[in-house]
Amino acid sequence: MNSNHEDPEHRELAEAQLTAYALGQLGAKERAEAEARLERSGKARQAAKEIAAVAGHVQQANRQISPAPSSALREAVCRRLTELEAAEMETKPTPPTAKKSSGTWKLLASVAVAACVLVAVVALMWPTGGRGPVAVRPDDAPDEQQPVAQENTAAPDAAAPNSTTRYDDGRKKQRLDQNKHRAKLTDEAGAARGAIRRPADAPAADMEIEHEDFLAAEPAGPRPEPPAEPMGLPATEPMEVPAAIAPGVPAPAPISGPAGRPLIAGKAEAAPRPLATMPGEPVSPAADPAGTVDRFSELPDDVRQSKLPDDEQYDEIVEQGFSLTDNEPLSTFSADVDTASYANVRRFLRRGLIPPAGAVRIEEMVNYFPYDYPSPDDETPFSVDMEVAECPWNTEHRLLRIGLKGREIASDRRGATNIVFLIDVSGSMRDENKLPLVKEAMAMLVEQLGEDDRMSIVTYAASTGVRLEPICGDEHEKILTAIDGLIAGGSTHGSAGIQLAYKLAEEHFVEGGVNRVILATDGDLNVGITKDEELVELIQEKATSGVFLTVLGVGTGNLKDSKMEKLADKGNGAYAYLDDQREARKVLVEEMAGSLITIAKDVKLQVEFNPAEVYAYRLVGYENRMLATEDFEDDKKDAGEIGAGHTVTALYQIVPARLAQLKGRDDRPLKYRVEPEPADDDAVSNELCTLSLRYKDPDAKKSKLLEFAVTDKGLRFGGASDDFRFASAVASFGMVLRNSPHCGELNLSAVEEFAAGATGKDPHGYRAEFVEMIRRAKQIRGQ
Amino acid sequence: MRPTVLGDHRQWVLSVLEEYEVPLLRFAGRLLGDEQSARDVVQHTFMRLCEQSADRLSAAHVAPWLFTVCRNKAVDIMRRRQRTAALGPLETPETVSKEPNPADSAEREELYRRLNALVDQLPTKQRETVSLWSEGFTYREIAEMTERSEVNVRVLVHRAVKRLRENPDTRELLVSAGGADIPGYDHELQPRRP
Repeated sequence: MNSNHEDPEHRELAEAQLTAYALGQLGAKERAEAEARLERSGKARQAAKEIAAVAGHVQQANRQISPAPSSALREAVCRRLTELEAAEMETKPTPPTAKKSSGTWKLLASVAVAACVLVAVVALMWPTGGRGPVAVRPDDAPDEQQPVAQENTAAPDAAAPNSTTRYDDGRKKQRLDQNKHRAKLTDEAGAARGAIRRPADAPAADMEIEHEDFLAAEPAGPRPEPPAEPMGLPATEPMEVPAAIAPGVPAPAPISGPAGRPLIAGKAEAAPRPLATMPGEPVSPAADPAGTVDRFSELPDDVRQSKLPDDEQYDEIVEQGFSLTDNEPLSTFSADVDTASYANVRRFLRRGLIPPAGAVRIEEMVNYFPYDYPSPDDETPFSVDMEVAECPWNTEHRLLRIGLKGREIASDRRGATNIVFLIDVSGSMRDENKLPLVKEAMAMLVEQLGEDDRMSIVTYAASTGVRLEPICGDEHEKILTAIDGLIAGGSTHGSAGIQLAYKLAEEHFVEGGVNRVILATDGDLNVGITKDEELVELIQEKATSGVFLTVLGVGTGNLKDSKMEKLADKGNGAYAYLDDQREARKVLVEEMAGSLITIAKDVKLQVEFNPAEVYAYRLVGYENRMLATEDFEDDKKDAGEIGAGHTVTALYQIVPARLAQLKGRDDRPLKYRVEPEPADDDAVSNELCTLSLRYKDPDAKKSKLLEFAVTDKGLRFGGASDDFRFASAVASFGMVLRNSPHCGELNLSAVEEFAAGATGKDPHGYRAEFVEMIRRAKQIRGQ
Repeated sequence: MRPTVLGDHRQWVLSVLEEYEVPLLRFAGRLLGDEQSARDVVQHTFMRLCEQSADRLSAAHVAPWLFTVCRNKAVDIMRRRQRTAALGPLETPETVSKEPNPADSAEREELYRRLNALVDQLPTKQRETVSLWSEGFTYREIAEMTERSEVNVRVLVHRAVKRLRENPDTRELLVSAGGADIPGYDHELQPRRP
């Protein structure tokens, strides 16, 4: 066995553990380990002491930075609140009243806004935080920023230490409030369910850092065995640890002292949603008007239940709220052909779990399915198809579907692909940004493969093996299952893996196609051939066979960078470093599939809504693909690629102008309200919106522009195309899974109904499978 | 008609503003290096907060939520800067105003100023992580907020602290603050391997 402990990465992890210890960030088990180590080593004690001291000074120094609060900000916040309150008031009374009498409406809204402002002003004058009279100013003195700013800075200046104290007191108060809130929630949810949740105030020590935390959950089968010494954090028996720390080491607590704050409640990680209630949006307490969940807010029970066994981590998705056409007539986003979320959601459902909200990316679910959009009939690389009909989850609203379809290229015109994944599954790969990331990346690539393609998987660690014999590229399910089953553990034996992978690639060589070994590793190929030159020779020899090599580096502190680059270089290939999912996607989907056939790149969409028709709009999904308005024209700004035959679907939920009660809405507090201008009839056309598209041909640097307008012909949902109804069913499924605030009356049965009636031709059975997934979700939720 | 409830919402937003504006400005300033961008990012954060509800965003989650939104926006800006200016990793000098703390000695103040300058010279990821830690977040929270693994956060903080420890300025700070020498890491610290 090679001397692994010389590996700088292991050493770094051990050091990082010590730092974490000194900063009071370890769970009980690891803390015990660290303390045992401190017992053994005087140097370690000294180092821990140093670290604690440095960190404490860093924290203190940070507190010394105290930028002045800004009155302009406070004014902007107040304006926004007023605007939202007005919008909120529009939706509160019963809808019939709303429709029939706009006069009553205006009055009600005005009274409400007046009351709000009054309450707010009173609240602000309350002596809460030492801002005193300044707090009231923003509404009445928007232009006098100078004096206000000075007054504001005066307070923190006079007693700088107090500024931190106040900040912390506030947190304590919030903690108390949170307890009340929690108690309330628990009452509502019932004792049994409440018990599942970790108490909010559980001390940090209770948050044991398990090795498993760093692994993607495996669906079934054996739990990975902790390798001999994974990542320098040996497994030890959990121990009771006295609060006092090893001698000579300052207690961590004082370091974070003033910054001490309530901890996030255990694993309940979810967050809040934009409010953005819109005219015509049903607001029922059960439907959670305030927002859906994601990582930082209270999770609904169903989501939390699925969260516990896994502890997978997902990006926060902050769902788009409505944008008012008057304020933001343009909506800009990038095309996205990702489909991973659907596969992941499906995986959860198959395991009898409701996926966590962060795993549900609606646009990826919608785009998972092929749609029968017309193929382009001219030089344009893709066609554009738009349709407007009744929004199924809110029949007072309209739904716009935008569909792009890339030109199809007959499969005989592109070479088939023969890909052999060579995956390092040694113990060090278990970190979340390593093997789990690689698996995700592989799954992304799998979705791009078709029946002419071949894929196989070879793993290497202490022993090397074929995990997946070459298999047809369209057997996505089998491939994904094999990927799912990859588990890290053992030491690294790179060269044997390389030999085996090339052997497979050569056996299934596709003439005129893409033959490629993709090596994914976190670094050292330290068993077998250990000299760089020997490895390079091996690769060089293999490259002559026509099999190309792509090296994917993962993990932090990849110290074998040069070796990997050299390998890729000699292996006729590319070396890419995957630090996150986005990069993985870029490398394995945008660039790899793109090298198969990309028909258009940097595809951006910008929709301009007509305020005469559209009061507000909301893009469903695409949260991570939003672009700034100016990015649309900027050819340097990256966007999504469209490959041959890809379809991209986007849905906008639209609040028709005729539904909106424009008159109750204003940007300013009531006192300064300017009467809204009468509708500008001259500008009115009956077009709903105009879609502008920018794209580049695959080799081009300059983008091309396309424009399409669409008019709402008043279609009912039932009269819309199968594709429209199916896409909206998928979107609504995602919304229900996410507990979106925009769901209204929507439930799984309704979703099932939308989908079941819209499966259309469904040659691959994807849509039928989707309907199954809805039923599955219903079962899981006990509906 | 629920004016009281709406008033509560306003009060909630404004109390959060009161409490977190300065910490967020500080954090955004450290990430972005210029005050105006920091103020823009913080404004964006509070605009988003307006759309949240106190019922959904319980007290313990307010801070992580705010810093996450703030951080994401700041990262957007940094990306844009990198693209437009073709800069390498963004390492702009700290310009956010610093209020002197009268409670501290002038010497300590100067040392802290230098320490802050050192922190600002850290690579972006380390700087971000250390700044969040300095605001009182746990590793776990930081991991969630920055969409990294906890191990990743652990290593980032470690590297940052290590780099700071190894700097002579910090050594001086420690000595003046009653600290001791800064020894190198002890390799005995490594777990024993079979």
